[in-house]
Amino acid sequence: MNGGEADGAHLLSLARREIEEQVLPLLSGDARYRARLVLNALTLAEAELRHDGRPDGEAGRRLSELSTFEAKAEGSEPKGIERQIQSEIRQGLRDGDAALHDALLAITKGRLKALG
Amino acid sequence: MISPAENALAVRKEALEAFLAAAAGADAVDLDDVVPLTGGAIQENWRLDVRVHGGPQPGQRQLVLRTDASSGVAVSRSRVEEFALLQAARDAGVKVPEPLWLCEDSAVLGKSFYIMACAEGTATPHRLMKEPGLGGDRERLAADLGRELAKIHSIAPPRRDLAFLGEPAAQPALAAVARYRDYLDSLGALSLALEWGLRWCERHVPSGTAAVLVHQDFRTGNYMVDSQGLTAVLDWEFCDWGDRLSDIGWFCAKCWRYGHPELEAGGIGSRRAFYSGYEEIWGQAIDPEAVAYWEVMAHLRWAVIALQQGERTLSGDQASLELALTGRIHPPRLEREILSCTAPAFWRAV
Repeated sequence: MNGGEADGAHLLSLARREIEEQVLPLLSGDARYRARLVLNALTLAEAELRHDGRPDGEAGRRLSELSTFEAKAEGSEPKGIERQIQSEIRQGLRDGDAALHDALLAITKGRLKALG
Repeated sequence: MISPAENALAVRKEALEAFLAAAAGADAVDLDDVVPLTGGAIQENWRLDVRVHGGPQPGQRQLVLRTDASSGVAVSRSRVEEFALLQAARDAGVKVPEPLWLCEDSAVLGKSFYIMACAEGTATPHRLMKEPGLGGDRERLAADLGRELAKIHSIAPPRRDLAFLGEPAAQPALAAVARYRDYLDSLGALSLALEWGLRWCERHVPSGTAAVLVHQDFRTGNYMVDSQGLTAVLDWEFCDWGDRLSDIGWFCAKCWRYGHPELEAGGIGSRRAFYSGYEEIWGQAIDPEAVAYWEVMAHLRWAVIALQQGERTLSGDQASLELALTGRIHPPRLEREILSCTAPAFWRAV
């Protein structure tokens, strides 16, 4: 049981389905394009709400993928590690680094998955 | 509902009619209708239906008025500069909408604008993708586009009429890498995939070609076609001196193929046909490896632009769901392509 109250992600999911199935078929041209934009936004917002604060969320995934590079980084926040790696890339210290390339690919795949 | 921009034109109708009459050498001009045209995130384009009384070309005409939108981008050329570019392109034999009259008098519309002839056809990419007959034979269209691009590249510095472009960069590729890093920093964007790609571009710069006029947004969506073929090349606002191969890479980059990756020339034809048209005018062979480099750069550039567009709405400049989604949806797709083209196997040893 869920207490009878839909959470934000559930409401967004239902709103998305309503637009997709009931509204979109009635539209054409620019109005249809605009409705598709709204659908995309709802999909992204729903995915973000579902992952908010969880370790498989965007920030958690980035930290996990980059954790092997932590030794050289300042602090353990994703931004701290990323800034350090950004600086190393610009200085040429990560040229052709296969482990980093694998991590970046994994992060990008996660970002793409979140797009639906 | 009338938009603020439509209202601005409506309240200045008489001033606009007077300008058009004087510019056309006519006794009078009646503005019968004003229709907003699509494709104006940075510029506004309006179709003007006019009746010209007297003068050398009396009668009904359709014209296009182009002016700044409420929110521009810093790298975009002014309308005055764009008008000069359009004239230079037309003189070089490029198919462009005929540039007619420039107005720098702010008393007319409150900002500079210019008038050009109305080109026939459509530039909408999804129509080109869905209607195989549009644009005529697609291989011929790809070759024609190659020829047009080569004609644009026949314009070379120094040019007094294009002095506003300044001096060409000695190393356009390295200048682009530095510029994109600056943009990312100024946006506060932290994208390691883009950083990885920029470093690869910094390390693998191909031999350059002599500086020429580069369009910098020559892609499907920025040219018009009718049922027969190409009618006009549009959107000259990002022109600069640069490496001709950057335009070829931009046109062929996977991100501009609109769901048809197998059609490497802008999603509408074969790379071979596009190259053959280009080489016919240039008289030299295109270096495919150098173009591949510029295709990586194209993905980087589009990713940076997408983030800039996203920032325009985040910073409160322009409330737009379209811009917000551009900044959110495109970068991960572009990052995947960049990472795929710059895998460790593609790094040359120092």
